[in-house]
Amino acid sequence: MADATRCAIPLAEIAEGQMLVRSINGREVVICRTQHGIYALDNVCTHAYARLNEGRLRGTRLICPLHGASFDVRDGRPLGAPATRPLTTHDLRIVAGRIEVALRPDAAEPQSG
Amino acid sequence: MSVDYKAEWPMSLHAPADSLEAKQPPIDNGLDVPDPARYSSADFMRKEWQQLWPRVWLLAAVTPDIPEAGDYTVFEIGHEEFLVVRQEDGSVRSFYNVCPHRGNRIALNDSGSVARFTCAFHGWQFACDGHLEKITDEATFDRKLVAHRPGLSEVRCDTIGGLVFINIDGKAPPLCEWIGLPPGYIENYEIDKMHVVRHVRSEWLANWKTGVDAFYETYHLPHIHPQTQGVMEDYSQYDLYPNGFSRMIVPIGVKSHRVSDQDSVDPYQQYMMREAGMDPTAFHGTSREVRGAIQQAKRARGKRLGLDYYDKLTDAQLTDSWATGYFPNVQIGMHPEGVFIMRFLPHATDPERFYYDNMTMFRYVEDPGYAVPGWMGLPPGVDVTGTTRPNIEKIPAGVAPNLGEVLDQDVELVAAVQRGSKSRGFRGPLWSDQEQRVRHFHRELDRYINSEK
Repeated sequence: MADATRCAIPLAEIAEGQMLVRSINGREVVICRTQHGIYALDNVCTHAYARLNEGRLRGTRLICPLHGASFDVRDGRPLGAPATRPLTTHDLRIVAGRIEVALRPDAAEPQSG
Repeated sequence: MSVDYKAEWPMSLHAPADSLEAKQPPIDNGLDVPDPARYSSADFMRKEWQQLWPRVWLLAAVTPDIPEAGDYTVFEIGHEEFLVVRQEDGSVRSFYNVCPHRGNRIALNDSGSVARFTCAFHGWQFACDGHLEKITDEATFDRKLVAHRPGLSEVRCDTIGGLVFINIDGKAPPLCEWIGLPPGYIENYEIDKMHVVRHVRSEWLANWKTGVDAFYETYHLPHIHPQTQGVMEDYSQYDLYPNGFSRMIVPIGVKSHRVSDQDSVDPYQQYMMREAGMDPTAFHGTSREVRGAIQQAKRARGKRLGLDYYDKLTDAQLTDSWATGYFPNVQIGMHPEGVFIMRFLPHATDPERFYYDNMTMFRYVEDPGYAVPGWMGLPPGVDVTGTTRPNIEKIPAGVAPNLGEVLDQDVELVAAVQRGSKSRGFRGPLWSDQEQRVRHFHRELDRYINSEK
């Protein structure tokens, strides 16, 4: 996991219903632990670019703090207005008690803004 | 095994007078035949917006949809929208969904959870209790213009038994007085412990009252829904309550009295027995004895699963639908496993359209033998655990709402009644005693329209 496009986090650092943010290769990724599993997505709302980890996680619904847009953390699809575009999801696996996140190859370039 | 009811007319389950199940004394609502223009006239619709909707308590939300501080849902009726917001102290308050700055909608979605509301137009911010937190670039406003610290406009809001109501003009009697039902009637079902597992809002080509009328009687069952004959009695016990409220107790688990064979058990009855955890092949009674047997099975299962609220429900409540009319535009099919809420929401401009808004609520019980009732008509794969609140399925007019066979039949029926109600050949509805709830509803509506209330 020395790759700049990956990170590893001890599983114990994130409780169910909680979120964590990591910057991977300049890209902010929010890791959401839910009853249904753990997921990694871009941390920037596709509507007005607010940081989603400052919002709320309800079940598998991630709710933006600014205008209340919501996304399904399992696949990034928008669940509620005003967002219409999905969030990019990233690959995630659990290895020996650690959450490993890898940026999707097409998202590996640093964000331009 | 005793047969605990008999289909007769007038129908009564003969519950003791002090029971919530008791047949209510009759109310004389006269025999007037109303002008059917009320179902299509723009003038009548305008009067409803002036005289009715602002002055009544409207069912705006259910409390399980807003469990935590900052959780909100949006209630939409006509051109108005209201935020229903859970507060830090656990109370529920409601505000117009409109920014006092330029009138933009504050919430642009049906529900959510926020620490504060932020208008998407210029970023003004409001606390969840409605007060103004921040005006963007406030120094560029003349101080006099914003000296009143414009917050979100509040509307009166109150709750009962998991149901959230709002009163737009703020002048209605207190909710507990306005609700025409006796104490405990709503609360005993513990709706606050259920969850919305499906929410469908379909647009129908009819006036909202044409919709209410259709759902306020079971007289039409043998004709529009003949498939119900094997498991449902269409002679309901009709009860009228104050303030336009009403109920019909629809006996379920029995064959209609119109079916001549009352001995052999119908496949639908067998299905209901299985739902109650019974083995229908081990049942040796007649069709007439099924309802009582299901009640006993549910009673025993409730005890085993620790469902203490069953102690507050009569045996009949364990099988039957208590279809309860909340004046003016709500009916809730009340069952111990869950409730089926229907709101008849007027269209903003067209008197010949309404939204049939259904919330199916289920009390999740973690037990492999505890099935979701078939009457809920849930599509396969629906999450019933309550962990994720489903989005509203919005179905435009002309598209089948996929609410199950019975309700899809009603879509066709109601549109045809709407078209016929405008005919020069139609002189107005002739309501029988089986349609007494419809008359009761319209009589109360007239009191508002005619300023008697």
